[in-house]
Amino acid sequence: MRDVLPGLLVALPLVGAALVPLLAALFRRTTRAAALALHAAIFAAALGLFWSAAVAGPIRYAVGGWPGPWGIELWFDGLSTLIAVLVAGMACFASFAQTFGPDPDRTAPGSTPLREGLLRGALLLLVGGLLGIVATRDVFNLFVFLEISSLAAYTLVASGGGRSTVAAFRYLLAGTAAGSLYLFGVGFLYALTGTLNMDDLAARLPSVEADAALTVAVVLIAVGLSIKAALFPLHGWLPDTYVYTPTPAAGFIAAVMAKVSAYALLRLLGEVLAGTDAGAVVLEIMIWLGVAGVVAGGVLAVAQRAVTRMLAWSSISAMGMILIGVGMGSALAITGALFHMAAHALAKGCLFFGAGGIRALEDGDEVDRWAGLGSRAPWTLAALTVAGLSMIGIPPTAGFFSKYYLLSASITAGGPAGIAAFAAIILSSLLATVYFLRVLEAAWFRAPAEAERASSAAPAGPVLPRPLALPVVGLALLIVLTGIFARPFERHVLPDWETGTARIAAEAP
Amino acid sequence: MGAPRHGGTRMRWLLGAAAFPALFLGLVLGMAELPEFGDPGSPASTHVSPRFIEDAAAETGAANMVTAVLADYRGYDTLGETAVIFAAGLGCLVILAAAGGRPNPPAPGMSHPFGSVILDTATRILVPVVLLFAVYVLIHGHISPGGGFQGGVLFGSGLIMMRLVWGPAHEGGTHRPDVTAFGPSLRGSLILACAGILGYAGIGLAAMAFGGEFLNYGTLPLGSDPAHVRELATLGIEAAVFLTVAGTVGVLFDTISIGMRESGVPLGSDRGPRE
Repeated sequence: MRDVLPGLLVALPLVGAALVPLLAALFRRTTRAAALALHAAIFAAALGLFWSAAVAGPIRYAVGGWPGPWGIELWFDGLSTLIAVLVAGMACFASFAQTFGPDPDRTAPGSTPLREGLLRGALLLLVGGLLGIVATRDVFNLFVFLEISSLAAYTLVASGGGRSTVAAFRYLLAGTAAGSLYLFGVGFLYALTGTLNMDDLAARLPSVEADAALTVAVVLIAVGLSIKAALFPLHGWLPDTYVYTPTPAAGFIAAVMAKVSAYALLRLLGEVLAGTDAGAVVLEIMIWLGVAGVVAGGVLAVAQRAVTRMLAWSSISAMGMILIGVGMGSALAITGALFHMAAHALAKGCLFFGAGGIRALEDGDEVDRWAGLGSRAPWTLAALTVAGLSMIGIPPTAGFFSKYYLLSASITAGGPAGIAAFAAIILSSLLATVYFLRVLEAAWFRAPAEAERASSAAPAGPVLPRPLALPVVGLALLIVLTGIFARPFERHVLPDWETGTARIAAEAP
Repeated sequence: MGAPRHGGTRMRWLLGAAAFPALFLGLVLGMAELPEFGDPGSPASTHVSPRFIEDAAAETGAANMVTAVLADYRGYDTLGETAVIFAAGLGCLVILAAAGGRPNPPAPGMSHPFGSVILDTATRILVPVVLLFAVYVLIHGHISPGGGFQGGVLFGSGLIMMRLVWGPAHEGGTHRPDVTAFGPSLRGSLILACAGILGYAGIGLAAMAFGGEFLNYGTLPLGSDPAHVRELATLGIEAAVFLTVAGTVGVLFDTISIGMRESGVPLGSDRGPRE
């Protein structure tokens, strides 16, 4: 199983991305079943790898049979398999949500099975790109899959037409700049060390004497990936992208896209380049920018009237929190960062599926539109409430534990940065309480506006169609389960990180 | 972007204006410390390159060592690059052609046939040569510069030339009753592009079925000499790249020029030939 699953994990999404449009073009019928089956198979492969890495240790896989540094290696340890499971699992929900209507938000008329197949193909391609980034042990290969995921994401973002096309174009400009900076950095590293393999790089970097060039390389890589990870103040592309992306894709992109880039930052800066002088400085700066992002994202989320835009700003706050953890680099902080990736992905996916569906069906995005939804659709709203509580950080949910780890790490780290991080995380929880309770209060305790009630043949019963309601409720359950099983998670992922960094430290001469 | 829409604009301008000189300065400073371009003693020339230079022919059967690295040692990257091209075609289809099933306004001059006897005759002579040369570039990629990407683009440009002169190929012929359509329709191009990706990944998965790693062509049962087997498989994946690139070029041209209708079938323009 260990010999086959790594190959399948990276190959299946690419196969699917071509197969689904092909089927749609050949038979002109819906490709729902094929796409769902592929996503389920990818998820099964990711779960198998997660299990295998947990039981029998990390897996190194030489694609094409060529070992590094000549060929491209994949690397599956507790960290990468965890993110892979997260990506593949969220993709299953997103694929299910795509049955919401081949055409997002039902705004564009006249969708065809072919168009549906193309959008499903784009989602598979996005999954393939993200899993490629997660799996690879090669810095150039990471760039290739960054490009695949970016192009697929632009397609999905733009598929709503109108404003979403503009948002996609801005995302494209930012993403292309980010990719170019990263590639420059990789070019510098290759010129300095002659290798692209991460392990080999980490081993050869200490003997590099060109300090300025190495610094430039580290900064370029850090800035490039930080743009993709929406680290404040490089987050400009994020709000419009999240708001205008059609709902099925928004739930997926908002959940995992930036987090995979944060994972790449963790791999490269926290592990491979951590030994360099520039790397240490960059990580320190990242903590401070993370603090700024946590506060700014929270404050601006409070200032928003539209629910999806509020969620987008809250994502910037969350990315800041994750990057604080990456910057601190202690085992506790990394646990917090990884756990927050998982907790926030589940909650944001849930909220974007829900808020996007409500936006489409209530024909508006303002908080007032949520008035009275609680009595109409108690289960859906209960699920969204769980996600909101997790974002705030209320105990039984996953969000509590990630903040707990990050706060502990801040105290342990101490110093001005630790204190600032501690204060920022507490403040962001308070701000999250303000902006989520505002929405939840409207949904549960406020009656719909008079005009609404008069005009509405407002259908009683569920406010969300099943393709969106099921992911919303499923994710809410997962949020609670993840919270309950926080300890086993910690035990599984942490040892790999510690042995990983220790191994690199030991290999350095 | 954000809430402080107006207050932040000047700040953003300043930041943007500062970023470019900073990037330039950084690149120049960094470049100054890099090894000389082409320095035989540099890490890039001494670490992994020697194996590629000395052993590529024996290990992969590819006479051209660039091909050996692209298609074999780092074939996984090339699969990714092919997927990038496929993604571009997919994106164009979703964004331009199929936006809500509304046809794009036809681009004048691109969706209508034009030309005369001279252009017509020249195209008839040129196109077969271009298409044949594309296949030659594909097959010859082993021992000279070339391969699937270049061949595919050449093939695609042959298709574009026909479409420019005779109008878009669709399922029912061109606008010119006297010309029999050659070349795939938009749907056909999409199928070609998909088939290329499936072929490439399929060869990789076939290697797994015979017990190797993904894309480890050496395990395929195509002969006894591993290098020769790898050479054959390399030709296979180059052909797959060729299909994807040629198909994507067709998709790009058709989506930009004609768009797509509700039925998902490209119909060209409403008007008949302008004779």
